[in-house]
Amino acid sequence: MDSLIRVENLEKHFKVGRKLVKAVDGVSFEVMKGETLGLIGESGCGKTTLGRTLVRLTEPTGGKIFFKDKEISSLSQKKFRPLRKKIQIVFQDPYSSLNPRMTIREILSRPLKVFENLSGSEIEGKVTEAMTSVGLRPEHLNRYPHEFSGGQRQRIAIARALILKPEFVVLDEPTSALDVSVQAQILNLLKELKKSFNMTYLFISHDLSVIRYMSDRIAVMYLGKIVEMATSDELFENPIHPYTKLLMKSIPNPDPDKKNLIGLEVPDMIVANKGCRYHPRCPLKMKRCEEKEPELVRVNEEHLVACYLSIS
Amino acid sequence: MEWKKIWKRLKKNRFAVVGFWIIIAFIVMAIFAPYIAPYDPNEQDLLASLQGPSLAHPFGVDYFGRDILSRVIWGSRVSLTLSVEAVLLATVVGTFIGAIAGYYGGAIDEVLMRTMDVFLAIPSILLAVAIVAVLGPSNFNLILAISAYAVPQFSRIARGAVLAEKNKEYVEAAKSVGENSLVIIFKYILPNALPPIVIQATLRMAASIMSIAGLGFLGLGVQPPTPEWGTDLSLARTYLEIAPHAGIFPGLAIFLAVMGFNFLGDGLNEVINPTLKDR
Repeated sequence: MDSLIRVENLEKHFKVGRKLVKAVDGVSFEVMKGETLGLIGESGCGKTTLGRTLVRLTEPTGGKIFFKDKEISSLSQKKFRPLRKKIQIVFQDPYSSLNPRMTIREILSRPLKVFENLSGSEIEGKVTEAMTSVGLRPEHLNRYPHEFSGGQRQRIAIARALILKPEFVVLDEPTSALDVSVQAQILNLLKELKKSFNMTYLFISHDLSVIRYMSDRIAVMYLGKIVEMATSDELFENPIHPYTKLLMKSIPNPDPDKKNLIGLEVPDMIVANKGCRYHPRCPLKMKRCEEKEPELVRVNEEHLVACYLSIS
Repeated sequence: MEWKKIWKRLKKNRFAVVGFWIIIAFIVMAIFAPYIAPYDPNEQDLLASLQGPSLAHPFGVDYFGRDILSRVIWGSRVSLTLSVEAVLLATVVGTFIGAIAGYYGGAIDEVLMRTMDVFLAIPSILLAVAIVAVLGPSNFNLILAISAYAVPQFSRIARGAVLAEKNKEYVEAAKSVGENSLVIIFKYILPNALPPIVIQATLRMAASIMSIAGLGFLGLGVQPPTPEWGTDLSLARTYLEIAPHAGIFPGLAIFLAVMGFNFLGDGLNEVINPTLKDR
C-alpha cells in the first residue's frame, strides 16, 4: 500500500499570553491509501488541531506534511488551493458548519463553482447526485439548514465535503454532536461512501467504540503526542501504554454488577516539563519516566508504543 | 436570528410599533406630498403673513405667506430622502471598512480602526459644520457631512459582528472548499452580521434627521426656499412671540420623525439583544 498522507514531526504551538500551548508537539504518522486511520484522545489533546492542520485551516509551526509524497505544508495558501479539491474536512458540529443564510443548493454548489467550470445544468446534476448519495431528497435543495435535523445537517455537510470527489477526508468527530440513534446511520453512510468513492479517512473521535467500528488502524494521542499506534484489533487485544489501558477501562460497562471506572480518578491534565508527558497521571510510573520522554518504538509488525514498559 | 422571528417579537413591543407607524406615515407623506399638500409650498400669499391656524390653513401661514401644513408635508420628503441617502452611504462605507478590519485583523485592523477613532473624537455637529463650511452648502455636501460621523459607528458595529461570526465553522468550511477571502466576507459572513447593522441604520436615521434640521437651522443645510423643517424653524424663530405656530409645527415634525426612528431602533435592539431589557 502507498501512503497518501505522511506527517513528519508536525508541531503546532499556540501562544496564549505568555504561555506556550503545545497542541501538537512532534507527531509523525502515515495514512495509507484506502484505509481509515482513527485518532483518539480526550478533549484538549490536540486531535482537532492536528486534523485542521492537515487541511491547512491551521498553519503548523513546525514539521512537514506530504500528500502523495509532495510536501504541502510549506505551500502558500494560494498554491495549496487547488489541492483543497483532494483534501476535505467534515466538522464536528453540523449546527454551526452550515451557513444559516444559504440554501442547501447554494451550500452544495459553491465548491463546484469555485473549482469546476460547469454549466448550470451540470452543477444541478452534481448537486442532485450528491444529495441522493447521502440519502437526502433533492426536492429539499431549496430549504435552509434550520429546516433539517442534526443528522440531516451532518449529511449535508458530508455531501459538501464529498461533492468535489476528494481523495482524503478528515472527519473531525462527525457524530459527537448527534443522537446515538443517528450516530450509527452516519457512521454507516461514511463507510459506504468511502467504498464507493475510494476515499481515505482520518477519523477523529474521543469515543472508543465508534473509532473501533470505523478504523483499520488507530493512533492514541495524549497532550499533543501520539503515544500508541496499532491496527484496530491489535490495539484492543493488546493495549500496552497505560493511557490506552485507561481509555479502554473507561468504556462504560453495561453490567451493573461490575463497577465502571474502577480505580479511576479523574486527574488534571498536568503537562510534565520533563520526562514522559503521561507520568504525572501514570499509576506505573518509574524513575526514568520522570527523566526522559520515551520514543515511539515498534513492538511488533503492527504496533508502536511510546512507553518504557514495552521495553522492559 | 431569522427576520421573521424578529418581526414577530417586534410586534409585541408597543413603542416599536408606534415608531413603525409614525415612520410609515412620514414615508407616505413624502411620497404623496404633491397630492396631500393643500397648497404649493412656495406659493406666497403675503396678505396672510403669519396668520394663525384656520380652516383654510390648519397649521397657519408663515412670514412669507406660505401654507405651513404644505411646507411640513413637503419637508418630510426633503428630510427623509437626504437622511436615507446619508445613512445608506455611511452604512455601505462603514460596513465595508469594519468588515475588512474585523476579518483580517492585525495591522489592517489597527490602521483602519484608529483612523475611525479620529473621526469619532470630533463632535458630530462640529464635524458636519466644518465639512459644509469648507465644501459649501449643497445637498451632496450635506450628505457627506452627515455620513462622515456615522461611518466610524457603522465600522465599529460591523467589525464586532464580523469578529463574532468569523470563527464559526461555516466560515472554516467555506475556506476548506476554496472560497477566497472577499467572497467569505461579503457572501458568507455579512448576511449573518446584518441585524446589528440594521439597528444602527435605524437609529442613525433619527440622528441624521436631527442633523439635517440642525444644519438647516444654522443656515448651512438645505437652502431656502426649499421646504425643510430646520430652515423653516430658523425663520420662525424671529417671530416666535407673535406667531408661535410657525415654529411649533415644523418642530413637531422633527420631534415625531426622530422619535419614530428611535422607538423602532430601540425596539429592534431589544429584540435582537434581549438582555438589554433588564437594564
